[in-house]
Amino acid sequence: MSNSIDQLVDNLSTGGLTVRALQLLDTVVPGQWQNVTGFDNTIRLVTGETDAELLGRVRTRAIELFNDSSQGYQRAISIYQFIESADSKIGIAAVAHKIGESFGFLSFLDRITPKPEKAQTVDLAMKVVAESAAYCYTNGLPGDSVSDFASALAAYGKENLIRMAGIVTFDGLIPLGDAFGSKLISTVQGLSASDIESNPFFQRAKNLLPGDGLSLVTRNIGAVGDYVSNFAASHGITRDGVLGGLKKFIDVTDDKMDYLGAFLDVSLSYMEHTGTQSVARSLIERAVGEV
Amino acid sequence: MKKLILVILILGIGFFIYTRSGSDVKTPATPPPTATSEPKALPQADAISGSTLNKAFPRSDSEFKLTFSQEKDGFSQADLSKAGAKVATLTVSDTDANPSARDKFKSSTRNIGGFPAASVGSQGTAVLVGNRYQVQARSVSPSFTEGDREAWLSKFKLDALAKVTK
Repeated sequence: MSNSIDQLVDNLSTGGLTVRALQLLDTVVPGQWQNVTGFDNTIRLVTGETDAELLGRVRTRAIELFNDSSQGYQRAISIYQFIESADSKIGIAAVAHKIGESFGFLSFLDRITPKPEKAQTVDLAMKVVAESAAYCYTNGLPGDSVSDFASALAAYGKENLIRMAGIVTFDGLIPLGDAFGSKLISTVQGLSASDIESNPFFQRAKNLLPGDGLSLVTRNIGAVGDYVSNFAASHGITRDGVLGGLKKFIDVTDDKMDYLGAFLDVSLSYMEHTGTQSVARSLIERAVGEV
Repeated sequence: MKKLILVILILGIGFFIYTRSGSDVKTPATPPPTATSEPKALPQADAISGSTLNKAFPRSDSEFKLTFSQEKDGFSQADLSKAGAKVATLTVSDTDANPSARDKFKSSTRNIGGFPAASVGSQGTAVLVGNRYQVQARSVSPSFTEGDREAWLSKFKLDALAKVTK
């Protein structure tokens, strides 16, 4: 780990494309997410306390727990970082953070190539795998963690829920269309081990993931595929609705819509952003329970 | 006379050096009192498992739903919700991995279920069970009062928890 948790939370963006996109999701899954940044600020918010001495003890304990690699929090952060650190996106993401109110989608067109549908679907499956692994490292579920994760999804709230909405919207609905759920399930059923092995996220994160690639993906999607498929309908998220919102701050035109999914893929860091917030929240809730 | 004064001085300095060196030798054999009163923290991975601590939690009732939300070495957490909204968090931790957590109970004048109780800030109430396990209830919503915290703490299986060892 190159950073400690206090630095990671202190460095979270307060604006930029990722934050704008998450705020858009918060209008379709209302009241679930606030962009809480700054470690001390997060500690005050999560604990509801103001006493400096207590807040200091919580801070020290949270950092201690994070720095203990046996406790899983570092691995969770690494997974959230790996899932969004494809080489192709780094330059664009950096630029996208610096652009003002409107994000210059058209100026990036020559650097973006829409992915074939199968590769995009494997990416979606990998987002789900990453989320289940990171959730289990953060909150520690016993035994067969895949089925435990499926039941834990029902209790998702705040950063966790908005991140799941991001997976469904930005990696499902927009690039794959309204039938993204059935495409996910049928594509995963036909995958081979080499399809998984060649995925850039899997190559980076395989040492952090439990089990071999193909069975990990098929078990995960088998357990939560229906939940992911039904998420958009159960939360009233539609492709047209989200596109209408995105057009307010991304200058996408209808004839370039194929490129939008690829643009979002390389310019958003919503999993790392909200994943860092989720790990910090779990750590602080634990620390205040332990001091 | 000068020789006598010189001998007395040499003897005095020698005695002084002897007593100082004697005390230096004794120092490591007698550690300061603080070292003996502060027990060493157990490595987190060696603490009682979260799944063992889970067994001490109360169950949901007709009004409140209890959902386990975090389970790690020496720690277990559940969220308490009412009408779908989270109102409190309940935790059990093994203080052998963080012994300073026990300090606040030393001056405790109240008890819950026969165990010493203490406040943790303005939103938390905790009991120390078997001088090892801290059970804490924290309000997330203002509707969950200090009285609610004490009532839910008393619902834990505190006596059974006090007997838990590895």
